[in-house]
Amino acid sequence: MAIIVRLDRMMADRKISLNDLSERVGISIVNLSNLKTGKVKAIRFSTLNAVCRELKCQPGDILEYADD
Amino acid sequence: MFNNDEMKRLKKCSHILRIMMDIIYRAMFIVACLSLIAAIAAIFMPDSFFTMYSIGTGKLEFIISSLKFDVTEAILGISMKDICITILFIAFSIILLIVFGARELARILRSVDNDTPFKKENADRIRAIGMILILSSFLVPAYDYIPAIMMMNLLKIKDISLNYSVNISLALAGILMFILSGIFRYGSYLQDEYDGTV
Repeated sequence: MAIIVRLDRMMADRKISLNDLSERVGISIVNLSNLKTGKVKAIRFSTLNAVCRELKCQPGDILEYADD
Repeated sequence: MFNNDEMKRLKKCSHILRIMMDIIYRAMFIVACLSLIAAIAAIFMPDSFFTMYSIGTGKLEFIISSLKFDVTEAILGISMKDICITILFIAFSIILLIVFGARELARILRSVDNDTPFKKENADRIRAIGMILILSSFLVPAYDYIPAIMMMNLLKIKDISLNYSVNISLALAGILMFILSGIFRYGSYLQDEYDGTV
């Protein structure tokens, strides 16, 4: 897919673990891991809102578009 | 969206139904096997086994289209072997259809029990049940028609005609199952989308 999830980079920048982020955002580690590895089909605005709030970033910092 | 109580009630209901369907499926499978064995055994039995030579008391009646025929005299000395074999094979095919239908229904109920009703497999199962119902709409009237025609020919009953007609209610139920299968296919697509969203 042309949309690349850069969650791992943001998490490394903020020095936050998957476990911590999942607790703060309120979604399961499995779902967060799937999001990080780009295995999900879609992301809810509520989830994106919570991730951006906890990582103090913009949606564009997490999602990136690249030509196939 | 269902609330938890409704979901629990639904699951409990489907659990009980699944157990019943499993029992029906197994029992019908045994009955299907027995009727097949009986039909094959009847082929090799002598004609005398299927022939009535005397009737002690009372009379024997044959009913076609609500008309009663007294066949007490006509049936004596005639072998009923062909009719018996036909009826046994017919019983086998009817039970076989019930077995397949009950098996598919039990599998659907098991998936409801496991919280995964919206699956492509279930859509295929509902379509299979629809096909069984449509097939039955042609076969069930034939199951009445064929032995009756055989009996009429054997007992030389005249001045009566039988008509073969498709069972409309079974055919409509089958078509309804096809529509339901399409709905379930769309439901499974929506479930996939929902599961793939975080």
